[in-house]
Amino acid sequence: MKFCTVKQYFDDENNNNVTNGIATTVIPLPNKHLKIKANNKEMEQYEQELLRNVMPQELTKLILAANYLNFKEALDFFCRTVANAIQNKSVDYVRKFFGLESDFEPGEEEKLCKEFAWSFEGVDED
Amino acid sequence: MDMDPTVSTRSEESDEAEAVNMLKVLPVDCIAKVLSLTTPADACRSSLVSTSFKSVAESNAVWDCFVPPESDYLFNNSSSSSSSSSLPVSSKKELFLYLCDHPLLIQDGKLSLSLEKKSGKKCYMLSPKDLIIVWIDTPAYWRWTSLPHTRFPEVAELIKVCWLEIRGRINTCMLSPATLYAAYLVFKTTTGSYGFESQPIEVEVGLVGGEIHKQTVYLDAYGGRRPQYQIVPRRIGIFNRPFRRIPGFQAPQPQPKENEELNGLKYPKERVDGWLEIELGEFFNRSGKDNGELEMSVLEVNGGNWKGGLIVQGIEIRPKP
Repeated sequence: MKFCTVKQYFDDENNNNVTNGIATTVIPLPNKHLKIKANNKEMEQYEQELLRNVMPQELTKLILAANYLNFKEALDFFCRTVANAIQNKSVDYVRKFFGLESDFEPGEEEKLCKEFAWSFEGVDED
Repeated sequence: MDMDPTVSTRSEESDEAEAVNMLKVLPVDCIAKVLSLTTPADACRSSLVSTSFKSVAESNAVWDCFVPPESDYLFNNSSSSSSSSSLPVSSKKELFLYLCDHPLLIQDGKLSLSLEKKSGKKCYMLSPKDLIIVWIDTPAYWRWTSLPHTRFPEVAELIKVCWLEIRGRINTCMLSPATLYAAYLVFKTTTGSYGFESQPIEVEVGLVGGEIHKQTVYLDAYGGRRPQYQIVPRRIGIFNRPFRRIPGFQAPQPQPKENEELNGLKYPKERVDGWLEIELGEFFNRSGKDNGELEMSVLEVNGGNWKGGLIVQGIEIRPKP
């Protein structure tokens, strides 16, 4: 059932959503999941191993691929990895991570800062 | 905008240029999913990243994951035009922030639920009606009373007992997973309170049928606040001579530390709401599954001394910082 979209992917030659490189990372995941499903710790270690050297941009592609393939476990995992990467980080760090720039009106950012001052306590330094 | 599949074969310069706006590439629901897996503090700060990020960061898709299902009815009522509820919330984010400062009564008012703002973790207070208070039904010993500015409609007032036993239980599946919790007795002393000075009280926290952690505390509200320069006749080593012990004077008593410990024993702290609280113990809640019931107890059943003049608002359980 999971693999009907995979079949569709292979049939669709103009598919830009999933590159070959990404496919080789994402597709073995279901088998691995089934094999070590019961053992969460082992899965965690496998997942950490998998993503040790992956850049944020690669993570975007992995999320896109998992989303396109409708592979919920992989999508959850990749999203959780990004979430862990940006957790307790500064606004600037998150901007750089997502490749964004501030486009607020002058003063708007300060206003939001004041409103949510409590959320800035204890944030990791860049 | 789609990513070029041959990006990995380009030069580093182009790779930098390819560090493009992820927001344009990732579907909004994926970004919302990422944010919902962080904390409320992270989601709030994310509103400052950019205007487009702000709209995702403030969406109900994110904040729905931070509000407990027990509060959904509040949101549904408030958003319906025929509602008589005056709850000032028009989004799940506002509902979350509301619940941080306004504990919600649940389970027929036996329990209150609120949220810790930065982490979104759950905090509960068990009302006296939800506690086992031995002798509660005997008017000579305990009585129910109503006070202003209390969380619950009725609180339990101790007239006098020689057997003090207060127990509360909460199912661990209600607690947030992977969280260190501490339990506190929330109470006040009345004028004329007696029997608690220098009276050790045994407090316990642990899973029913599992390991119970016990410690000794004091409910004496003034016990930790003795005069700073109390001179206590003591013998100290420097004046000790063989066969001739000369009593000396001890240095001024140290002020109790932040957590009101004196000589390793614990005294009540004053809360922001004007009540007192004494920590009963800690519990680390592992997973979100049902690990059984957590029991929290306050006991003085050995001394046989009469004591009276307490008002119990409840037992609070909240994440320990």
